[in-house]
Amino acid sequence: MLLIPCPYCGERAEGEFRYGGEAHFRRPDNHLEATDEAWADYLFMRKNPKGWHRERWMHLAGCRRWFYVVRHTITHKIATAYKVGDAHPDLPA
Amino acid sequence: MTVECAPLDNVVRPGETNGPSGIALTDRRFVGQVNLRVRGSGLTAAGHALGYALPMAANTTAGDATSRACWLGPDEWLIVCDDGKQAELIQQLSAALAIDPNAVTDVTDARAVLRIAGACARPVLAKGCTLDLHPRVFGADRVAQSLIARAQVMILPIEGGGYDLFVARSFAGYLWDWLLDAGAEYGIRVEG
Repeated sequence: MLLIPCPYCGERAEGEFRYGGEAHFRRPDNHLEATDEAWADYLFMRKNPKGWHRERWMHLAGCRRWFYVVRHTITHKIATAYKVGDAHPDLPA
Repeated sequence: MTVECAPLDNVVRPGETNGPSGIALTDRRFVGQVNLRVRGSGLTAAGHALGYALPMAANTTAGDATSRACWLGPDEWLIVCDDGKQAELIQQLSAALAIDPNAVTDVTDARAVLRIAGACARPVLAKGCTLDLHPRVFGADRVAQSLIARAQVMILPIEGGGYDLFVARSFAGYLWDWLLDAGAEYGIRVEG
């Protein structure tokens, strides 16, 4: 069970949250002219790192807000959580 | 010999207790509930209409016994009032917020309110809820949205050591049964 620090509500049990996958990837700007490769990249290709990962979470059973978490995919350690619109914090070393 | 046993013989009825000491469980039919979405300059206007400032700190409440604003999110509150008062409240809020982007919605019928009171109410909830509901961290001005037995609830502490559980009406029967089961070892008295 992860203890996830919701930027609004504080630390809550993982069961209250929903995972939203990798954060901060961008939809092709000019969608009429974007190539198939650009669409495939946007739709299917994820970093899937062994290590620190910026990801989206939603506090479904609490304040129902989306936010970002920096989590280590091996240790599950959570470095920080930040709100949508906040500056992206650096990944830990 | 025939042993007569009707299907509901073992169900706890109003005024009865299913165990030794007694926790009171009440169906608080009904509690007025108004959902308020507002931000920016509308916050002050809403405060004027309510007669008290909206609570801005996460998971806190403001107001009094007749009208209490519960923080649901950074721009969302649930205003809890006596049943029948919600129409007047909505009218006042809508008038005060006319020029500010807002949503004022009567959600009275969306949630049932179960009241669990008594000294053992907290240990019963602890069986299905991960939050620390001890008064030292969950005092009279607090509110929380969380899960109890996997059902989404808003928990509001009441005077004298108990809680009002706001639960989606389709989950109310399930939560009621779960509370009766979880509280059996302490004894639950169904009131009302």
